[in-house]
Amino acid sequence: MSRLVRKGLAAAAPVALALAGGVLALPGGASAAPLDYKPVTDQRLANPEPENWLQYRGNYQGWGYTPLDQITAKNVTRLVPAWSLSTGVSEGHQAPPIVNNGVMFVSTPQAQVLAINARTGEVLWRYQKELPPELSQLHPTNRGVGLYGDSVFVTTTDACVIALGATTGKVKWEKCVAPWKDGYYMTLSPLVAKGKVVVGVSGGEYGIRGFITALNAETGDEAWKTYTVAGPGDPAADTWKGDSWKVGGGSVWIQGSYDPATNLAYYGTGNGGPWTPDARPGDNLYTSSVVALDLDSGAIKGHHQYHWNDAWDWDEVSAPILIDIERGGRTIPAAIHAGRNGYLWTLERTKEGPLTFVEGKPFVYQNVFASLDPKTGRPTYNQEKIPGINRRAAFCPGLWGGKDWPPEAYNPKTGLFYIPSNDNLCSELAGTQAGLRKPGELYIGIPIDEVLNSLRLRDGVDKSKPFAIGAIQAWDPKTGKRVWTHDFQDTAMWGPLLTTGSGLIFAGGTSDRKFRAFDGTTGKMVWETRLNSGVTGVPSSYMIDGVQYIAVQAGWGVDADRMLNGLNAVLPEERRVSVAPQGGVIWVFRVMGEEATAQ
Amino acid sequence: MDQRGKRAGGVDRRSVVAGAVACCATGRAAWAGPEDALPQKGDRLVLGDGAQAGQAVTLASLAEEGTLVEAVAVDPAGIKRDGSRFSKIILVRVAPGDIAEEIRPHTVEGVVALSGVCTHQGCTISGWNHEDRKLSCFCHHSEFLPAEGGRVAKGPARKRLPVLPLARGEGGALMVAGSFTSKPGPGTA
Repeated sequence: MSRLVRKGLAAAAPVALALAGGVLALPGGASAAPLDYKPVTDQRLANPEPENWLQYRGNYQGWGYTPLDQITAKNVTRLVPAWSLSTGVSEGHQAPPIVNNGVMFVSTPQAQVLAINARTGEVLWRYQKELPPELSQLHPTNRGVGLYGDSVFVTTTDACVIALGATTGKVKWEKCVAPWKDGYYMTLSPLVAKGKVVVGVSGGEYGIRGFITALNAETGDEAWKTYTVAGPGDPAADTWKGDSWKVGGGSVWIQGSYDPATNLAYYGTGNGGPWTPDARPGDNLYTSSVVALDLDSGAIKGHHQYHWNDAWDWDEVSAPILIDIERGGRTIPAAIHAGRNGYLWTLERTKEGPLTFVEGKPFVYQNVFASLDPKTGRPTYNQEKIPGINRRAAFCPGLWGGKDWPPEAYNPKTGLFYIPSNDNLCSELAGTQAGLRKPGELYIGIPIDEVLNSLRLRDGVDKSKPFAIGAIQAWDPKTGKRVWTHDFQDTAMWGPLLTTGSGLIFAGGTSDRKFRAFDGTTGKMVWETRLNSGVTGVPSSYMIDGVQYIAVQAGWGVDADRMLNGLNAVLPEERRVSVAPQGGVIWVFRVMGEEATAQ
Repeated sequence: MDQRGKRAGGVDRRSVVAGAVACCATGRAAWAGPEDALPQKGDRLVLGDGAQAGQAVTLASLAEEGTLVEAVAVDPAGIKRDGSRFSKIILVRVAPGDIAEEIRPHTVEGVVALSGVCTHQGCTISGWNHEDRKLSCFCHHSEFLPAEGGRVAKGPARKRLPVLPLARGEGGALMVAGSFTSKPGPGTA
């Protein structure tokens, strides 16, 4: 166990962030007892202690669930800030505060990682990579760090992975997995297991060929690399024609879920590129899919394509949540995913890898799928809803889909699956020939004005009065039925979900900058507060000295802001959110009262 | 402590050069080749895209209002200044009377040249709505007004697009008459 020295470092005093023999040195800095750093092991990641939040969604299965139950529907009204910390940067702050034994690690846009005393908010160290000056950032964000041993792993928008010493913030190694000048970048948190750091690349809008790669956690050396776009030699190569696979997209936006028992990792994949489907005839495996990878070799052991030959920019961003469900009198090891295509997918996992279709149901209005094959789940399309080269079409849900990247959650106590969704929004697009690809330049085959002006309201929506767009939905995986919906009026929902052992849900995501708690059984809102900026960060929870904390980053930006631009173009002026302030702040809440005396 | 990152395996030459040009709009680092330097007075402009790429940009290239032209500066020795993204140039043509007085000397018959790199997150500017006289960026939807010297019409960008002064050369060819009016690339006002 390493010792991590904390000193009274003022968060807003960058001058104090000077190297001095590897130890935090601040004139007059009060010393305190060193924090013990507990190395992160495979066993701990597979069975995380309730008081810690060791990875993106808390556990390998992707639940977004904390067993902690001190904060309840009764006392949540006394939830107040324990501390807060400005990150010093703007843009989309999407990463969860990751907590290990009292030490919090937070990644932010602009390749920054902060280590913080999770009880007091004192900054222990700060790392920031100097990104290439000429780098263009389509998604200036980061979705969290990975922990393993005494290391902290973070990806960067110049397509590199950096290993930092957890107690020092010093760089152990750096590995760039692809050339940023060719349009590759990364925003996802690493999946760490069995000595491997597994990441994937984005860049589908620049004509890259997506892949997932595993690096040795000790050295950064590549262990394997698996393309999400099938090329020559892959059994699915014939789902691409000509050389279209070379620029086929298939971005990997989000950390995979993982089943240690089968050693299979499950990743969602992005749409094919360019966006126009007629530029790449065929099913285009493994885009808009879930792939099951053997963690040791990277071999694709199974896949399910949610929809083929995408035409709607429907990345199937999220990894599925892994749970066992009861269906038809038997237990099904399920992989459940709320798709950007607006369908809630239930698949059955197998030990060997293949995934079988169980059920697909729309959770928002969807007018593209004409039917689903009852055996395979393969959709047929309404032809008039397919945009293409010189072909205009309107479709629902729109470009950002029924659910974009913000992760769903599963609560084993309520037994419910929660979805942050967006409804009543559609898009209209017409494409052109993408032309010659230029490395690092946009390559989508859709004129920019088309994209910027693509948002439409669903036919029949009366915009003269407030109408529902964003929502949190609760579904029962056992029955495949929706249990409740909590709608938000005139605002989209970009809030990742956290659910707790006391049956609460925490989420931000609306353009009014509010962070809220809901009763997970009924959907009733039980607490809300307005923060400095809109909340698109993944909330997490942890406990120190008997006190439960809720932590989240506020910091509006990226796609939430893009969609707000679109909404402002269609909403009446008096109902627009014309100012959506940016600027990152880490917020940590606790209940004031007798529970707090444990400190 | 502040652990400013360093690239593994050392710093490649292009990164050094990029850093150099990023800090000095007018100059070129001693170790950089002309291809890495930003456009300079005396350079000529050639078309950077399309079937006629490499041909001289002339007033005729922008005869029709509503066209956005991507251009590359070429130094007197014939070397293209395309080593840095910050050398990207876009040209649009607007009614001369609409051009703000302070930038009018930098324009030729309504043609305005600007940096082609968004000042927000460095994406390439490629949208031009001639009706609204606005340039737009796909990445985060910032908008700029070329006739007003690249002023921000809508954020998230906060810094105007730098203008590249133009002069008329022989046969209506467009020439570079000076350095960008400010540092190209991301930044704040």
